Amino acid sequence: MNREDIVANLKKILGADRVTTEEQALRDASVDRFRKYENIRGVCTQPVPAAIAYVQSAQEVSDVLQFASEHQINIVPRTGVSATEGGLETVVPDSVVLDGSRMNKILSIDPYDMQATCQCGVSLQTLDDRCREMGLTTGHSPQSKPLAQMGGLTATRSIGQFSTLYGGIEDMIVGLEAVFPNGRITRIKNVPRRAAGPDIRHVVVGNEGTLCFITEVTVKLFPYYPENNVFLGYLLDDMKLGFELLREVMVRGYRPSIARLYDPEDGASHFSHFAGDSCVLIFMAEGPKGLAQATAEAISAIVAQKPQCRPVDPDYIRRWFNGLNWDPIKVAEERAEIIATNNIGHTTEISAPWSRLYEIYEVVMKRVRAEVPDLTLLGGHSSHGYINGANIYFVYYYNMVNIVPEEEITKYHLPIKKIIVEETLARGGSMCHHHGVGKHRAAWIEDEYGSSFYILKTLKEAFDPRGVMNMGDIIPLKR
Amino acid sequence: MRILALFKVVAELEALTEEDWRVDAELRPQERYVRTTLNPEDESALELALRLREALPPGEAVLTALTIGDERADRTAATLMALKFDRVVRLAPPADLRFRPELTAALAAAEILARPQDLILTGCRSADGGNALTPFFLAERLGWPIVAETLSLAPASAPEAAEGGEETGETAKAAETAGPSGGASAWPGGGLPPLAVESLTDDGLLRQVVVPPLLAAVGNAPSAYLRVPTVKDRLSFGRRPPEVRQAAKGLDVRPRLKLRSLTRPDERRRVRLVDQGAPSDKAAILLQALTERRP
Ligand SMILES: Cc1cc2nc3c(=O)[nH]c(=O)nc-3n(C[C@H](O)[C@H](O)[C@H](O)COP(=O)(O)OP(=O)(O)OC[C@H]3O[C@@H](n4cnc5c(N)ncnc54)[C@H](O)[C@@H]3O)c2cc1C
Repeated sequence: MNREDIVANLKKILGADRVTTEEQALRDASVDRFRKYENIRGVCTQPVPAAIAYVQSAQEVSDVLQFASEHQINIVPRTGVSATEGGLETVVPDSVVLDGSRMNKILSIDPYDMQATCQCGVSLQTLDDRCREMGLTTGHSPQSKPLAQMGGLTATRSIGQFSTLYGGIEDMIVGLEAVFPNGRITRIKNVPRRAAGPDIRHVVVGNEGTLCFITEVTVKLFPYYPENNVFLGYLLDDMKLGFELLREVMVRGYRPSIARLYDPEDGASHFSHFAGDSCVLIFMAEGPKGLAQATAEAISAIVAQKPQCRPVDPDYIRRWFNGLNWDPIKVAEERAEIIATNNIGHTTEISAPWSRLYEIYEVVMKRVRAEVPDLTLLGGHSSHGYINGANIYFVYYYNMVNIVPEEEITKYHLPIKKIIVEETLARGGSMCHHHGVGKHRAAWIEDEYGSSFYILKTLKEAFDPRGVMNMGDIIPLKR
Repeated sequence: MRILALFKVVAELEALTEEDWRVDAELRPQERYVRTTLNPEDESALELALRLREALPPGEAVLTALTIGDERADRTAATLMALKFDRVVRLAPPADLRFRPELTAALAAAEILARPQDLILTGCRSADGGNALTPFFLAERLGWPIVAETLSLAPASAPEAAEGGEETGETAKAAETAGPSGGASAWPGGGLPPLAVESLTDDGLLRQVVVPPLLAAVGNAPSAYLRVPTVKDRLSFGRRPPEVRQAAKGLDVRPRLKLRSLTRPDERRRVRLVDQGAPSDKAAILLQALTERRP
């Protein structure tokens, strides 16, 4: 079906005012933050979608998906548009971007059953602010909290800064509603737990729009006690010791909400006013007063056994923490700065068992430094701890020298990503800790899954037999 | 050409929380909890210095960066070393320099007289004090011409230089009195190359051709962010510490004015949310609100 007919049909299904074909909006919708440089420079390398369609109900999603399946039109779902890995790239010509951001109603906040239900386009900031007014919190706090919306957060298996206590989104989702490409609207009910076969929530959580469109989610709620938060901060000279201490805290059974370790390069942009060239180790304990205090005291005692760790005034950490999130103003400032300095930054996040973490950190630092030109910053931090391992979030900036905008990715970003992914996979880690696979790590998906790729592939074939859901994402397109 | 860029590292005061505004016995808010940053207009001055070096023949420019302040400036100093400034100097201040533009200028002037320069670049105002006086006091002490609100500067083109030389007889004369440069000359007229300096005035953009010595006080220069050094250059050049010295001794540093109180400026804004009606209704409400405010 040609572009004009796609648009005409969408207008018939949704109404003309819900279908955008404005040129700049379409160009913007062909990418996400992975190609932010091309976008800033006004270069468009991806096929421009035929339209952006704004849905307002599960039934409308169903109607659009049936139409798309019938005519094999690629659908790219989106909500908050904060994706970083190419998840929103419209790699198939004449795609339709299906936007759920207008499904933005909070349907219930239930302080008795401790769960909140909302549509996919509710921003997490809005939901959590509303909960906090009631003395509750979702416990979910990604840095993109002011930008990201519940549909996208669920679709990417996102994680927040308090994950060590509250877990990732997969631990928070109670139930949900999703629409599959054949138009079927499905609802997974909200129960505390069940042993009635496989946990099918996990077919939907993390699907990145490749299996279904998420229209509604129900998440757990927790009591919100900010007055009990205890912050701890330390300076140390060596990441290896830092990883050891993170591990020690986790395996001894403590659950701070924040357990973070920054290397000096990455830390410099946050802590230059007190950390100098040291690594920074940070904890926050929260929850009921006795629990928060006991957790903080125990962590202090663990760290005190290493005199190389020098405590800092906890007020530094408390204040740092308050300014961490990214809102649209910060995104706009970043654009201006990239234009002015020709310097850009990206990130890649991985996870690995404790036994391999430091090794991965070290080899990545060494190889990227040696192999990639024009780097201006290469650093990393660990921000999510588990009983058996943790993540590393690599951060890198470079000057873009003698390139046209579309070469930014091939000259710099992908070579760095490749090193990080390959070194992680070689050591038994996961190449994606929380940003999702998107389009740019899809090339390694079979290595990531090994023999279990069979399960993933079968899910895709079963739920999206016509190949219309965010093609090229998670599983690469066959060329 | 000997170029000196004067810079200052300031606390991000807008990041101070309500509780950080507890002032201590010396009338300082709790600045230590907020990050420090290179004063934006000084950042532009430093970048313009680097651009001028690139525009001059190789080896023609000798770049010094000077700050008067505590060790919080050392990270920026390392960045400037990595950007291959020839020297980075930090003068430890002999007194509290807040609200003391005359003292800051005196300290900088003493340093400049001890180690002569041809061109000084600095921001017009700092994000914290904001008095916009320091460059003027400094120019006065040196007896140099000043171009305030400078937006850009570059070697003048030959025709521009020939024409401008006549027009700026005044400034050329000032140059003579301020003492000749030891620097080599790359421009055919001999002496220092004339500079084309663009600045913002009340009447709009002004382009002047000036023969150094000159003090260019940089204003809100578009796209003049300081470039970022590579990790390699940081490792190779950025590890040398800045030269740290006590600021000139023998100056009378006693304040003539006494700081009595310090309060947080009230930066609250009134917001009216117009979320009802069609876009045309909203536009009408906005138009009405705007016209009501006009005198
Ligand atoms: C500054 C910044 C900080 C960030 N910090 C974090 C962080 O701390 N933790 C973290 O986990 N992530 C972080 N991210 C990444 C990003 O915010 C998350 O991936 C987030 O979950 C995306 O949500 P969104 O609503 O913006 O989704 P979008 O960007 O709109 O979409 C993301 C992906 O989900 C799919 N999708 C979106 N909506 C739906 C839907 N309704 N149904 C099915 N599929 C859908 C899209 O097709 C796409 O593949 C950060 C990003 C930025 C820019």
